Amino acid sequence: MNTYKSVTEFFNTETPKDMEYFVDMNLAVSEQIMQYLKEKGWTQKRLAKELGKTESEISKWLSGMHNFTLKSIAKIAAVLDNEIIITPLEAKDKYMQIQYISLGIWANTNTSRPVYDYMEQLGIKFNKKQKELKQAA
Amino acid sequence: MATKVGNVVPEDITLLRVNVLNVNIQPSKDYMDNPIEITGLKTETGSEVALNIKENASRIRLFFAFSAVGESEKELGLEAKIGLEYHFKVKDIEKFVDKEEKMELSLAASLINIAYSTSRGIILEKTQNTYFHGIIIPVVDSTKILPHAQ
Repeated sequence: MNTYKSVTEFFNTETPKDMEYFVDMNLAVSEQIMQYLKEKGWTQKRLAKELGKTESEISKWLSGMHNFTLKSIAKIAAVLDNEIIITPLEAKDKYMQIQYISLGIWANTNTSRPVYDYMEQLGIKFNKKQKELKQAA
Repeated sequence: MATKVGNVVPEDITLLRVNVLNVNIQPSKDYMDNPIEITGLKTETGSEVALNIKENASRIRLFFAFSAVGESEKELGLEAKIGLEYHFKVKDIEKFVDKEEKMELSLAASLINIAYSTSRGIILEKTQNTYFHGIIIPVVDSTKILPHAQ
């Protein structure tokens, strides 16, 4: 443990970068687990039961100060049936795979039709009603 | 406690990613040979709203077509077309979508507002050092550029 000669020295001492990451990651993991518990309507007691742990152990785990191992995170992910850690690379891949349903297209029709033509050129498909408006433009 | 705007909690919206789909600035040969001063802009806007309820995700695409005008609203042969795409995460997005998969106006307008305002900065930057000398898109009523308006 570090000892400081003065309060000023304490405040001027920079927290090591790895410690910052450690605290951030621990908090993020705890928050993610809490979020899943909320979504599932589970209590910490239920999670403890599913993991075969005591409630006080789980409470300590979720305090944000527990040093999670990948093994314990994997166990929690398995009982919650949800990913807890996702790397930036995985997040990017996951995001790129999202399939969307188009809810609607709009374009102003007050003047000519360059924006319509431009949207079609970029592959935006107009429905029948929108095509009628396009023709009218 | 977070403040609600309509039924929307702004903190529940995260703008994940912005993609520039296309930027096309086209001066005609005549305009390049004789770049007359621009006095105004004709602006057309298009939008597409898309959704993935399972992923709590929404995608907004905005399309802009600009045509520079001079004295007496005469088109100068200088045009720009810009397409931008925004990906959002929205907490509990299903609360804002009805059975006919129509998004509640309050959320759609909030997302369009964020996308449109962000577009202003991108378009200004993309059109700097062009014949347009930086386009600043006007402030609009976001509900008027939504598919709901049609």
